[in-house]
Amino acid sequence: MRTNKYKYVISAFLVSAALSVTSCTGDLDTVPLDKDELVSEVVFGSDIAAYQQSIAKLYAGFVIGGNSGGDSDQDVVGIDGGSQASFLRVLWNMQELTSDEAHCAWNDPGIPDFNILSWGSSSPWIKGSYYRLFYQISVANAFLRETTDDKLAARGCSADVIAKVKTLRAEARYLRALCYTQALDLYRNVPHVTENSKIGNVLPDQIMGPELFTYIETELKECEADMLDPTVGFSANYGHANKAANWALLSRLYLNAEVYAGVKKYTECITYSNKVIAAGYQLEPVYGDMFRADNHLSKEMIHPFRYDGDQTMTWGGMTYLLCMGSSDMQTATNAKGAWQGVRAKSSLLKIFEKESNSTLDSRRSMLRTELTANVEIVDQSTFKDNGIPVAKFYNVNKDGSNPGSAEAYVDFPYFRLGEIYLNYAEAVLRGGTGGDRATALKYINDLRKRAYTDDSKAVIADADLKLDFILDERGRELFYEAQRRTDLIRFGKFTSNDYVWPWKGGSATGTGVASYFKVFPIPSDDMGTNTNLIQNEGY
Amino acid sequence: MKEKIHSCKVRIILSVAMGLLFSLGVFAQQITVKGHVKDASGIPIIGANVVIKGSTIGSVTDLDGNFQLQAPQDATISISFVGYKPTEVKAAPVLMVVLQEDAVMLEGTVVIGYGSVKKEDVTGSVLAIDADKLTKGMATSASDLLVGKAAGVSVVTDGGAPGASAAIRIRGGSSMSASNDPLIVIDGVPVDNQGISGMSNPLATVHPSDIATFTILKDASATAIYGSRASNGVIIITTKTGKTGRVKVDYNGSFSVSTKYNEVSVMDSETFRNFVTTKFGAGSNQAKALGNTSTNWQDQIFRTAYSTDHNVSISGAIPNMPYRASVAYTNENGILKTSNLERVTGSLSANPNFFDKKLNINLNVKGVYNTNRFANQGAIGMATQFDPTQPVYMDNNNYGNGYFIYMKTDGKPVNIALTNPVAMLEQRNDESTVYRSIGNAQIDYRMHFLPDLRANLNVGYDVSKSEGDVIIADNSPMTYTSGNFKQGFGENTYYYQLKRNTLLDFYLNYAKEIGINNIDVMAGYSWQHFYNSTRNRYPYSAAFAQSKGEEFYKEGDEYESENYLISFFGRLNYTLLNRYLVTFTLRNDGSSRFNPDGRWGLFPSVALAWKMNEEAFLKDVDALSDLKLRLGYGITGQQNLGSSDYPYMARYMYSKAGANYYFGDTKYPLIAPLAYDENLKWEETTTWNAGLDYGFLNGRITGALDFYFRETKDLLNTVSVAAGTNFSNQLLTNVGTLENKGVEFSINAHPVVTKDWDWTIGYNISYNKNTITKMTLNDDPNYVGAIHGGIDGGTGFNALIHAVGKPFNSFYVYEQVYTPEGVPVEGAYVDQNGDGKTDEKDLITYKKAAPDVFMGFSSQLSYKNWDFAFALRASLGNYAYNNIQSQREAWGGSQMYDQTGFLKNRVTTAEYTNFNNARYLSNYYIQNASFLRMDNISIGYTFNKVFTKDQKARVYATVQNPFVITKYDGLDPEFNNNGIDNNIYPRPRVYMIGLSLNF
Repeated sequence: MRTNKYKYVISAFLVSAALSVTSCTGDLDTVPLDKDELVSEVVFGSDIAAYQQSIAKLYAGFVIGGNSGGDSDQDVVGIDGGSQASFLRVLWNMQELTSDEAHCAWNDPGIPDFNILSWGSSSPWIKGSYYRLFYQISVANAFLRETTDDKLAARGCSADVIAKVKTLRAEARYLRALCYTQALDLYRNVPHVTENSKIGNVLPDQIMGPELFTYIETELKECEADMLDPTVGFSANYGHANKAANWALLSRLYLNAEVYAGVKKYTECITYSNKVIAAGYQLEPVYGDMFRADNHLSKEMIHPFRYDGDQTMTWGGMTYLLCMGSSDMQTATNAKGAWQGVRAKSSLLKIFEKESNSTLDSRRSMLRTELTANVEIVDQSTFKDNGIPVAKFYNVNKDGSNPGSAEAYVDFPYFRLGEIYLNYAEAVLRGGTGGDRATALKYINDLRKRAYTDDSKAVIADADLKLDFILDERGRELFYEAQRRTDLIRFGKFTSNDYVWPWKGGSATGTGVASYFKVFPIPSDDMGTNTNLIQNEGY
Repeated sequence: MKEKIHSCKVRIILSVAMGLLFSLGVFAQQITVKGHVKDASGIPIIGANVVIKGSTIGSVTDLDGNFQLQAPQDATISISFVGYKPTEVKAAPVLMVVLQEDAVMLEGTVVIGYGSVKKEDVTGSVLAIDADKLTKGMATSASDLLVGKAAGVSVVTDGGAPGASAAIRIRGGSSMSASNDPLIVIDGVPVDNQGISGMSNPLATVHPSDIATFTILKDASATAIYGSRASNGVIIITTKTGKTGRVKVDYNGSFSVSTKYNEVSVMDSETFRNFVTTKFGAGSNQAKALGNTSTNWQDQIFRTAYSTDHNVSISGAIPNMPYRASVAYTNENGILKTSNLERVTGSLSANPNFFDKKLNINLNVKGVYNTNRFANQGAIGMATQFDPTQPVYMDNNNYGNGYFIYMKTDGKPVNIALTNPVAMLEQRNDESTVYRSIGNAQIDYRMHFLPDLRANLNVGYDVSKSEGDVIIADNSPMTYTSGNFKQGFGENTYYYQLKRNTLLDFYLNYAKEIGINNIDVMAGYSWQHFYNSTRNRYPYSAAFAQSKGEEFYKEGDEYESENYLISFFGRLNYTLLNRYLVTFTLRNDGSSRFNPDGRWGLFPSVALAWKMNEEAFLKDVDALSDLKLRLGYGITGQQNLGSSDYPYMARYMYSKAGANYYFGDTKYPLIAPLAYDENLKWEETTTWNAGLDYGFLNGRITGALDFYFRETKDLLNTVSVAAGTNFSNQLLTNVGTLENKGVEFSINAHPVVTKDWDWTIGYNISYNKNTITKMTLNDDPNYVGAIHGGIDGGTGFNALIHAVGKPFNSFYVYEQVYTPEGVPVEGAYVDQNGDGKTDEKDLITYKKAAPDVFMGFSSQLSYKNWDFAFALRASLGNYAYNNIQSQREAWGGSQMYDQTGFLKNRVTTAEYTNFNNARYLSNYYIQNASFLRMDNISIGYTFNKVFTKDQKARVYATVQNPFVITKYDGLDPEFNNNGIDNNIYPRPRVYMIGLSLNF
């Protein structure tokens, strides 16, 4: 009898267990548990913070390689986080190593190819640069998608939050235009995606140079009104791009319009250069101070990539610019390392030496010829006594004190007033209207007077103000600031045989290369994925 | 003549002595017994054991089945032979003995998913292995036991570190980005083998001595009952249980000595000094960088290591409740200095039954407490390139805690220098503590009112908790040369992980024999929850924290996530005439990892088997004891991504320490959108299998032959995604198709059985061919494939490719050009496309990492009380990228000499190749890594009687890894990664002595 009682209990237990669990399929509807991993409904609400943190990601994407310090949690994967995935480090290599300014002695894949202007579509650097640009564009698109008026209203955002987000939306559009400009410059014909594109496994269409130019121009003009008004010097909004940044980008875009779209837009270049200048930016009194740890205080800075030591920890970006050179300068520049590989070519020194008083030029003194036995790069993969060590960026404050740590604190001046002066002068010389030679001459002489230790030896005469001089002056003023390749292309000297520098084309004395090297190839990875793309000619 | 007489005398003396001992003083009269032993069908049985009961006197039947011996008149003679029931008869001058086949033995059951079947009724490709019959070397984990033992099952350990994990692959891998690990089920609980922080081998929770059987389910018809988790096969492990009868105590203990038996062939100090001087001249900067001592860095970092292992178990049965309890202690030291593993495992099982065995309960609890000290394996690679002319220690330096460290002229350490390998070991303390427990309660109830119906409820858990600290001594050489700061303080780490997996299975089973029909139906439900959380902290050392006024050098981080699997499953077994068998299974799995629209996957399978030996036309073939043809088809799924629990959701992630952005003076953390594919779904593998099980001569020869074809489609694959369409350049999505074709053959034979001799051998061979048949969404013919496999040396070099038409993990390299003498010409490669230059378009897919064929051979031989066993294993057609050589051969530029003033040692072949620049992508470095390895050789002696006849003891000696035969130039031809030989922890040669006691 006892047995019977038990068997019913057991049967009942088993059956009820079976029944109670069959209703558990609802367990499959999970949401992330972690406080740092969130779905969009949780991230975005009526508070401004998440919108600011989202736009901060977009800005940080120009500065560091990932979502965690030291370039961990990489944004672009399958390549090295601190080098090929770093916006600035790759950009610098593509603009400087390929030019008459810098040489890198490392044998890492793709590096020697830059030195000798011979690269292919599987270069990890070209891949890194390309995918970084499109990562940034995707993040901007996501921000625009999440911040439509409808969505903000549905989340119960206050008028104040809606107004602030409107400004951030304009910044996202500006930053996206900046990336597209960079893509236009480097790759010319690229995939085109906007906030209206789908996320997932879709294949975007390719947009050709002239159309892309127009798209960028339209975007910048449309978003301008909603951007912050220009602020000169450090402010609570320092780090945000304002209208002046927008104008500076238009200035640079128009200056190169002939290359990008085959149209002359020098008048527009002058117009937007004037707008920037009128906003009240001033040259940093001492040239070298523009590249120091407290340069965020500078009134010359228009759009910085901010580096704040331990908070923007990276092996790329400014860390690279501080560490890439000779160990002889490491203590003086307060760099966290000395990686030795990068040296200036003798051709950069020659640009300075074209001038009789170049020894008075403080810019030239950044080329530390006394630290090398040989200003020539005799051997491509040697750095000691083989080329010129350069100390332009100093992780040291203006007053000589060191910042919080050896991590980089120097902001990279993506746009600074000096460049706008040069844009203005060049656009005037190239026939743009709305400016004049006298003003152009003044701007050039202002830059030179700042650089020279003796103003009287610095100034040039109106007769000296020629286009070739402008190219040289850009070399002197903007060297190592990731612009040289673009300048050489605009002046027709990047691939041609009439201006050569050491190792151009693979020869020690230099030789011309095929003109298709003016644009980089679309990386083989994207060619293999997106069948809508046509590879750039020559590759 | 003399000898014969002598031996006769001895025998008589012995017989008399034995008689005296065992007849308790009664002098029985000896008679001569002549006998004949045959089976039920009248066939003589050769080699049957004939023993006078209670003595050691006996004989063996000859070729005609006859025997003869002297026995006391009233003695009992017992006759036994493998596969037959032992029989006892009274001694008589003439005996005729008929042995009956042992049905229990032949019809042993095999554990399959959610139940078990008679061995002869298995319809799928299922292999059962009795753990006690395996030849054993040093086994610290269940996976060690399986090495080389089963056709189609490859087990490669992750080097020679104590407790190293192993990659188990059943019939090659069927996935690319998702896991290729088989599902492992221990006593009904599918366990987590994804790895636990601080414990290398997750299978180590069970001590090898506690394992009773392994059952390996290979084809889909066998595995489909596990549905979504079974694409890579299933290994079911059952542990030992108690038996009714007297209380038994078993002890196994061993002591072993591990030694390094070879090393990477790098230059010694004298050779290196000459090499540098010859290349660059005595006055060169390079020559000036030479030191003046002589250090063999590989001798400095390795040692001879001693280890012990002990296991005690007690088993028996309290009426109606068999039980078994065991506890084991393992202390293993690795040959790399500082590496150690210490582990206590315990297991407890009780199997009470009630109501005349209608209600059976299985309770199992297993636990492990494991402490590890992980050696810094970076020291292995470092020792092969650290300058042999430099000393280990240096005096009078404020930096480096007394270890040699490279210094700059300004008196500070060179922060891009190589790091002293000895300091890397001794100044880094990486310790972990891991607790893990696996347990379950299984209640099986055979209905009182309907005995054919059975209900089974299984509730189980697998919980682990681990924590560890990595402590780098402040001011040690590493604090200047590695890490993010290089500021002289140790970048310490504390980590913690909790994994909590819970399980509930319920099924009903109805089995009925109706005339010639046998039906067995099962239906069930399964619910599983997987929870994982991690936490990391980055503290300064106490001393540094005090001087700095801060506790941490970096903000900590933590993460937690979970996923669920819910399944409904059923199986039908139908047998007709005990000859024709059909198995049909169906499983419906839901995973929380996929979008609600696509999260349910349906996985069917069907298998047919034909027991041919039961047919009339074969029934009389006496030599044939088993012949079964099997055909199977099935679909299994895969959702084990390893990477994320929420890959289909649009998610955002906050940034971690060191990644913030400032506006004005305000710091903002970053919110990054994460890449996702909302349409992500199951990866599906379809398997076809045809097999033949055979047995001859009453089971003295058995084995199986299997052919299979597997196709995996919608591979869960991390691939390039079109630029601008997601939040990464790579996305986990369903793309690609992969095929595996193969043949497996195994044979087990019992060729010699005599009174004194017993010999069994086992051999298995497997062939597998893997081909990628689709890689991209759009089948672009110009797409070369997914290049991956980063190699050490230059940032950005990759040596592997997944390409359509090739096996996965093929190498992607240039074809080297050689001089007529066969020396590689530096930088000269074949211009494959004939465009006059060698560039990336000339790269070719060349060889691959996986073997074509692998084999295992084991032999166990015993003579009287002696036993001798060995296990051999071979792998053919596997290639390796010798990254050690490619990185340490070139001497030009900064490759041997860094211009900050230090040298890097070269391999001895550097003189031969004479490469100025490293040629990372030359196929010269892709080398044939086929091998034949003797896994272990052992010899043992058994004392049948220690104090009483129930007390047995065996002492044995084993050499593990005595030799490897290979053409491969590197240290060891076996890797468990994708074929890039880099920094492997050398597998030691191990000498072991051991003792087992059974009371």
